[in-house]
Amino acid sequence: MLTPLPAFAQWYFGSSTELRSNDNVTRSPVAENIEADTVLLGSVEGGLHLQPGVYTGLTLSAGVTREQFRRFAGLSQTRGLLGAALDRKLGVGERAPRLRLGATIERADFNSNTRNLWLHSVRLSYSQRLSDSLLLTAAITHENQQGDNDRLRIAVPPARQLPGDTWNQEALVASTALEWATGPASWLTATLQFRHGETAASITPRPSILRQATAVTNDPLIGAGKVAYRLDANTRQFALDWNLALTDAATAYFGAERQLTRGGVSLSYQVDVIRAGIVFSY
Amino acid sequence: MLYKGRGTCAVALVALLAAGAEAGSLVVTLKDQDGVAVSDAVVYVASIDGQASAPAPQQVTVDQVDEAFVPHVRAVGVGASISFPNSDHIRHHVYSFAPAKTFELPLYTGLPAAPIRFDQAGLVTLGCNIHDHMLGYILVVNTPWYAEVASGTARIDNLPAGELAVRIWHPRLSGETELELTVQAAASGDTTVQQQLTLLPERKARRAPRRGSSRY
Repeated sequence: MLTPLPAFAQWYFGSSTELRSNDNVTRSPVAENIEADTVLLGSVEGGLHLQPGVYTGLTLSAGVTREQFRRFAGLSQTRGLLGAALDRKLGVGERAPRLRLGATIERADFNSNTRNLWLHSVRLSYSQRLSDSLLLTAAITHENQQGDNDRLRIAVPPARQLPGDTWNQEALVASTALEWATGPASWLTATLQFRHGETAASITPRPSILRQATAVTNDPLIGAGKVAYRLDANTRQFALDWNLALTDAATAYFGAERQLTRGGVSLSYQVDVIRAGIVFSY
Repeated sequence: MLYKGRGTCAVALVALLAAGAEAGSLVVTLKDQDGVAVSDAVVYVASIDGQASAPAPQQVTVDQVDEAFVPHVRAVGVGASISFPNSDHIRHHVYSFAPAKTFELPLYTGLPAAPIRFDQAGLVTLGCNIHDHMLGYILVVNTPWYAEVASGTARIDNLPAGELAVRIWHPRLSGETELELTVQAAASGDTTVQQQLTLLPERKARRAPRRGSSRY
């Protein structure tokens, strides 16, 4: 039973389930190492929204997400998240712009413990309803990720010892999203994202690639003799989702996403994702 | 822009004379394009034989219950005072930017200090600054003869006989702001009008899916 709240506070709750297909789950730039997989995702999230003033709100949230990979079971993961976000509405009404400064702490536990990590992120976003049918959001996010295994990792031949955890990463992400209502119960969401920073991928060891890596780790869950490596890279991401409100609380969606990553010399890979899911919000 | 219904729309007009009555009544039955009884509409008589009349001052309420304005549509005459009690446990911030009435009632629960007077005819769209999905309407009319339509039927009493300029408004009326009909009212008894409205689909709340990405 939830505690009765003062008039400036309100509980909220949401859940979602999604089926996702990923055509390059290993993020390989080499054709022979490209592996596809499907993922079933379930998540629940809840929190408290506080409205201490006319223009200022504070949201405290907690959530758990489970992702189950069909082929690469070691990538299956449970993520717990705590977040806080401060909202500032720059005016009154649905079309008033909103600024939101949020921070999250996320713990990801994989079936294969090698990848377990903490992720800290800080995000500043600006959203503005341009018309009854158009909503624009722009955001910038700083991500800092720390793996549990921050120690010397083995480097496979040709031996090049690289200290540190492949999953210690830092990145800056700029994104913009446009939501376009196509009907009374349907809308499209187009997202454009640019990520600059460290990322991880897996391959059969190749000197030309590993020379550009900043950390290398054996990655047996992807396959015998495979390694996961970290590199500095830029990723452009395009996504388009079609959303259909089934009720005032339930929305179904279907979407596609393309990630184009380029790092170092002649090192690039592409990931295509197709997803379908349903979210519930209360 | 008004849709002139005379001679083109399907109006079934039945005058039932009641002997001895001094004034008649207008009974309007509304169905949508699927034959479903319409609610949240307003019917009003703009003029009788071309003559308009002023409404009497009145006091009414528009409540807030479960993050919705209740009623969703309220009809009042010019000069009416409306109070906006908040029956929810959470604070609301009611506002309108409508030319007919611009006002704000910042964060409150219970009953705000004073009712608000609506002294100009027109449509007033209500919102809540905290809960964007809350939407309500007040139609302010410059006539004493009006009624809100509940479950497909509205009744306006004490109408003198004559040619009535009847207007029908609904927030989801397709293509037009209002529908106008010309109806000959009898001196007594019920004058019955049946009208079909073409309504746009109801807009549902847009809940944006949260995009989480797999960690690798």
